[in-house]
Amino acid sequence: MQSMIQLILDLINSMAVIVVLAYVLTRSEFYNQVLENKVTVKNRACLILIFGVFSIYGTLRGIEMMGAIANIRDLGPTIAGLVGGPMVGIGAGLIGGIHRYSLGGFTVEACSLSTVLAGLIGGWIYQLRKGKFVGVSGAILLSVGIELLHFALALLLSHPFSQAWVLVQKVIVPMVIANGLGMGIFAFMIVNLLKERETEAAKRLIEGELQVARQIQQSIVPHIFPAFPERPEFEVHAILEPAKEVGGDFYDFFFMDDDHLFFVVGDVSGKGVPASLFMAVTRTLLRAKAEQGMGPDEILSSVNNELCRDNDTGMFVTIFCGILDIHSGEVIYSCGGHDSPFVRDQEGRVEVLPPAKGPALGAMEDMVFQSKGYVLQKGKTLILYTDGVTEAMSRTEDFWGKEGLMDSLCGIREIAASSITSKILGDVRHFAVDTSQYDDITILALTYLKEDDGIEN
Amino acid sequence: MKINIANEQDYSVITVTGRLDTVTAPDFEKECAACKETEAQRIILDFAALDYISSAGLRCILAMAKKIKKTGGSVMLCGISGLVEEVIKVSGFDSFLPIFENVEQAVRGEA
Repeated sequence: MQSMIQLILDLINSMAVIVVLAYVLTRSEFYNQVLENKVTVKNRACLILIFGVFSIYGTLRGIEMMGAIANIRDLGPTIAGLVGGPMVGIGAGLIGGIHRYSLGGFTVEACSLSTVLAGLIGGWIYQLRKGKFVGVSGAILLSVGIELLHFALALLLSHPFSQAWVLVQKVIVPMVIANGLGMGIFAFMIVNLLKERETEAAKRLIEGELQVARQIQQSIVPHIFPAFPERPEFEVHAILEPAKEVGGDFYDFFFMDDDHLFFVVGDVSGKGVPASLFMAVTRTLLRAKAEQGMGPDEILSSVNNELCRDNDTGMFVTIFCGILDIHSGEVIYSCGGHDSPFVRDQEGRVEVLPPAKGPALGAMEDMVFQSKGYVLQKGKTLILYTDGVTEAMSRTEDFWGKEGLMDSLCGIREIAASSITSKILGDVRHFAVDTSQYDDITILALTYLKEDDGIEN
Repeated sequence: MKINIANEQDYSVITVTGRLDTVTAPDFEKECAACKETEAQRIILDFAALDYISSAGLRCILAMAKKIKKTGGSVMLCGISGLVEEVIKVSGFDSFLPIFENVEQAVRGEA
């Protein structure tokens, strides 16, 4: 009994070495290719060589008993067959088998043959399962089966039978345990590796989809600037920087008719994919309503009712929108729970546009939105933004705030809308340097450039 | 963020301390789900000790208000001030959520 336990321990020792080496192997780029079923001639040759050497190692570390060797020689070829197919299994088996044959002994035929058979059977299973790995329990069963076959051969082919019988009784339990355990551990590693790869692939798929979603989102807002080069009366420029791949912020602007430009900035509660879907719906509704020629307050109350329908998630969107008469510079605007924009004049004086009352959209039905008017004189710019700008946080966890934004606006020399947006973005980035962007950032600047010609129309 | 829920006969008082933002909103939602089971018809949110609320926090309140409205109940806010008051006013949530000075007034239902 004592000697059997000693034998098991010895065999497990050498099995451990093989398993560690096999683990290192499974982490290599070479093995990655094998898992992707790219079994090229070169890869096959490598597998044969490596597992053939494992097999020889199993023999060399075996324990000599009664002119035979208790060992884990079959482990290498079986694995080789399971992961590389019959050719690989037989190749590794031949290396281990020929080496064993050269050592002689009264069980030499049975031992050499069973090593080759181990590789062949492993490869056969590989083919039966079309290259799919058998799993942990399957691999252990296989390994045990091969050892039993090994002993059956030993009893059949070795002479004298009585000596073989005594030997088999001594080594059968230790060898089955050591081989089975080794195979079990190796199979466990392979299964984990496969799972890991699956997770990785799923992650990559989602990342790829998000990247496409981002492109779609960036392309449904107007993104070619200058937007209206044929219109000297005004200039509009906007920036949208989602905190994640996709976000809930948006802006939009378009002509409702020849003389009226509709412009809007919105911020959906939350971030990521849910917010981006809600944002796309909101933007589409706004366009549809605005194209019917409604006023900003009517647009918001009608979009609000649409958004409220069946909206149990509690998602909502804050919106500031306005309509610019490009001949007079008059802006009619409404607001749904959004911060009121800033107005900056040519001299760099900045003030907040008088707020128009109205709640966030999508929250409750039948809400009333106020509409207000403001005349943009030549050189004045409206600056719309979302709270990603004012709630940008520094390393010391201070908000940039409306004060930060105001300071930034005062410090601008040019009046071009594009210079204003990029200056603000630069300043907010400078403020929040070395922190990760927490919320989507949207800035829209609309500069009125037309000279007041004094003619009433 | 710290949440304390007191369930009374026909109302629940949820006291929130700290920040209610993207990070803490899921916890808030989870904890508040517990008080719905008491079928309190009025949920009183005591925000006197709340320092900051983001749109994610507003979304939670809104979802709560919509759910309880279906069974004829309501969500009330009390004790709001400073930054929290500003966010609630700017977002227009005050136009559909009743606001009270403190819990006692909310319980009595007087502004």
